[in-house]
Amino acid sequence: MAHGSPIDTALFDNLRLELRRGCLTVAVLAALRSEQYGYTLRKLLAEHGLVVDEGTLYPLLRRLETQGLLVSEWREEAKRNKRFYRLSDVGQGMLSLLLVEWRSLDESLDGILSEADDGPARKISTGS
Amino acid sequence: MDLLERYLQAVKFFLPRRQQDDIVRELSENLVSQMEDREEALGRPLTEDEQADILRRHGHPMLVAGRYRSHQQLIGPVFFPIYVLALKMGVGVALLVTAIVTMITTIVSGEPIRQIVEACLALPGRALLVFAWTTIGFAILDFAQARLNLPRSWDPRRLPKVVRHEDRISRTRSVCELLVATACTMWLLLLPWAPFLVLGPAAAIFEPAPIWRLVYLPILVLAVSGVVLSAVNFTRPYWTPARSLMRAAAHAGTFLVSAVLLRAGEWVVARAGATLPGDANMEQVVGIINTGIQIGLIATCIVSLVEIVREVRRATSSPSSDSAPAPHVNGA
Repeated sequence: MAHGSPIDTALFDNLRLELRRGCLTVAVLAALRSEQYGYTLRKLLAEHGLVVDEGTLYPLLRRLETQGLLVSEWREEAKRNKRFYRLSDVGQGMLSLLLVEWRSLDESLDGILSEADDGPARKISTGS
Repeated sequence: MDLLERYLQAVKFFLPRRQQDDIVRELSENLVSQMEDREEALGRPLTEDEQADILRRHGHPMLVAGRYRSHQQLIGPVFFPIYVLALKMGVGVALLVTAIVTMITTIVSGEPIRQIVEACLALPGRALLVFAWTTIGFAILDFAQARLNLPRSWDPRRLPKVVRHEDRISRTRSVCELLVATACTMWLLLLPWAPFLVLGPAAAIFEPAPIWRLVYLPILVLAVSGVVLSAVNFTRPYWTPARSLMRAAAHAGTFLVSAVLLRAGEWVVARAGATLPGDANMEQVVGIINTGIQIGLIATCIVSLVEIVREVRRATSSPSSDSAPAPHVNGA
């Protein structure tokens, strides 16, 4: 692949969205080890560089709760009723498994990238 | 906060009924928090434009509500390509049926323009019915596919055999053959009640010879077999030895019928008491007509023999049969 060729911005945005979408569930479960409500969770994720569309985050929270990974309750705070989410026991276990999977994927990708830098990819690029 | 209330009302309209109040309450709280944060940053209340901007970035009410629904497509990616193919075939069949019905009614009523106009007006309704039933059928199939466990329960050994390029049958050809065969069959069925379909205005002067009553039923059977074979070729667009042999048998039947007709020697006779206008000689005219028919019958016999040989050759050379062994992957 020629490194000088222009990148299709729309394609990059789509692929980046797919990549982020895959990480979002883990990020949300990890963030909800401490109790949050929808808006503060979104702010917390954004502070760590993971900007999430509200239209994506709030239905995700509902889905994770339906799957038993989160628990929620309505509580009054600052004279307003808010729905607070936190990780359930099942969610804790699931998060641990997902983090093992995440690290495994990270290692695999590191391995592929270092192999590509060292050997076959270089032979392919010089052979073309 | 009138704008926010109107927004939440719009979202609520599209939400699943049982969760409406709960979701709207949560959305309301999150949006109010967002607006309050913005007001705190600006040090003043938000203008209507600023509120509208926050709501616009939140998303269209229909899209926001849609994300809370679990099943979000009528026909998913698994069945969609087959659905499109079924739609095309269904609309094609509707067109074919309309064309055949129009042909028949035109022949019977003799008003081609009116029949064609009526057919054109009826076609959109028929196509819409095909579209509706096909969509409903595939929507049900898509809904049930998870329960059918479709992706996991298939067996590779049940996949169709590989078809050689020379064994493929063009669907366009099958449709044309089906159209012609069906039209011929309809025409044959109408003949006993409408002899003018054979000879036109000349039916007042001439009539078919008695031999045609003998061969009428065999010809009808051959025509129906042509319809059936064309329909099978359309649904399974590849030659098999069995089908080639059936086609050879149909051509053999055509040859036999033509041979029987040829032996009769006379195919059109003058009606009793009929006369020709002017000085035309009845015997001479009947002779010319019969000579033309004789040439046609001889040509039919020759073509039938050629087709029999062709179909038998195809049947014996085609590997696309149930008894043919599957090719070895390693070429052993």
